[in-house]
Amino acid sequence: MNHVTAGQYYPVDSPVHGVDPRAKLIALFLYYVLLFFCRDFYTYLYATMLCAASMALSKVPVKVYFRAVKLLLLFIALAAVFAMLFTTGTALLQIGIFKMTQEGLAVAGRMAARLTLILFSALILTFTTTPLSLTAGLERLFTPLKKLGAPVSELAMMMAIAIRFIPVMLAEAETTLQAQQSRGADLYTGSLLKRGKNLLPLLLPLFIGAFRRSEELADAMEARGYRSDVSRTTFRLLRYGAKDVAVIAAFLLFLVLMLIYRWFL
Amino acid sequence: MAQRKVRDMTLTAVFAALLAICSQIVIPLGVIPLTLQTAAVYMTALALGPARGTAAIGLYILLGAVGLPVFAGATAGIGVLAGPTAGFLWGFLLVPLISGTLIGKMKQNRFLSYIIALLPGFLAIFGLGLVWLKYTMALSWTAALTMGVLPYLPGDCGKIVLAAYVGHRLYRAGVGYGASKEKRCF
Repeated sequence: MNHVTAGQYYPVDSPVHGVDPRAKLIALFLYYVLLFFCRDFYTYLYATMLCAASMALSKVPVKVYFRAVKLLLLFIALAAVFAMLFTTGTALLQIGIFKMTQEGLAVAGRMAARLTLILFSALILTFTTTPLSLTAGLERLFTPLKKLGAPVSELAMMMAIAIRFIPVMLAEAETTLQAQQSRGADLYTGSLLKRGKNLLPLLLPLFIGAFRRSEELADAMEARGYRSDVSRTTFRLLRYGAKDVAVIAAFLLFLVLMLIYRWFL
Repeated sequence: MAQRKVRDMTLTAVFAALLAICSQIVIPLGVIPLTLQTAAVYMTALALGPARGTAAIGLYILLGAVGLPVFAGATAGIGVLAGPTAGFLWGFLLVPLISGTLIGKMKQNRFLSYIIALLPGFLAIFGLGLVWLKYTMALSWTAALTMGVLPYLPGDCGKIVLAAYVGHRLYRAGVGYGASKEKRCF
């Protein structure tokens, strides 16, 4: 369970890592809009090339990307097979009751391509940006919503707390598990009912501990003068540089090119 | 008021972390990996009630969106939230709204109330998950059902019982939603 603490961030020095998190979030959003307009083979090829180029620039090994989406890719492939077999249309190939149709092939291909590209492009963002800087980026991007009464900075604070508490609660879960095992609890053998019952001495202390810890944390924060109703200054300032503007401009251009292709060619 | 707010903030955040951990606890059982993810969602709904419960689950989804591997199988990313199985994740958001509200209106000292409160929440998760799976992958209803629902059905019935039991015990320990502070065990 230790990999949870590490997060998905892949620490190498690359051009993509250096881009401001806000610029990356905007670029990803623009890319999703672009994907939405993909229809034929050439548009998907274009989108795939953009994604592949960004992946190469991120300097994260391709192996790491594939390891992260292994299970989901399998799921997408399985669903694509289902879609291929159950769509009606002109038959290309028939084996027994299973009919592979031209329409089914097209539908399955489009679905699989779109989902795979969404997965990989999102991974580029999360591999090259630490969760905390991504949180800071989101907070800054959504700051205008504060005027409408949205609790943006509270949300960012809660995310920071949750990120900080994952390892803490994990350690507590492991300690509790070992303590109960030393008393003879057995999670790995026996019937399902027995295993479920044996989970209780792990879950109950964990949940009650969560209540206790959150109260202690609230006390500690208040004792140090935390107030959610005043604006706070930040230790790390985010600043847009020429590179960040260039990234956003580039993705805007990619999107415009796609729209020109869709509507004029 | 201000004090209440910080307390709700920390409680929500710690429960989001707890959800992240429970999603990684795997009970090995045959081919289908059984995680405590949905069980933790049910328990969060019962322990925090509709408002804070929804906030905690929303925060958990947000944590996954920014790339912490908090979803089942240590997956993460905005991609998962748009992927074929995302409907189940979005369905989690409905559980506190439905089950949390229901349990607040029922006799909370009875174990059976917790099971009854969880059933509509369970239907919401699988309903949304099924519809989402069908439309993102352009599947037929039967195909979506055999892929996304049937294999998980038995496990989830077990999880409801487990979560209801934990919810009931938390209430008796004075920490659950609507529980009286006097009974608090710490």
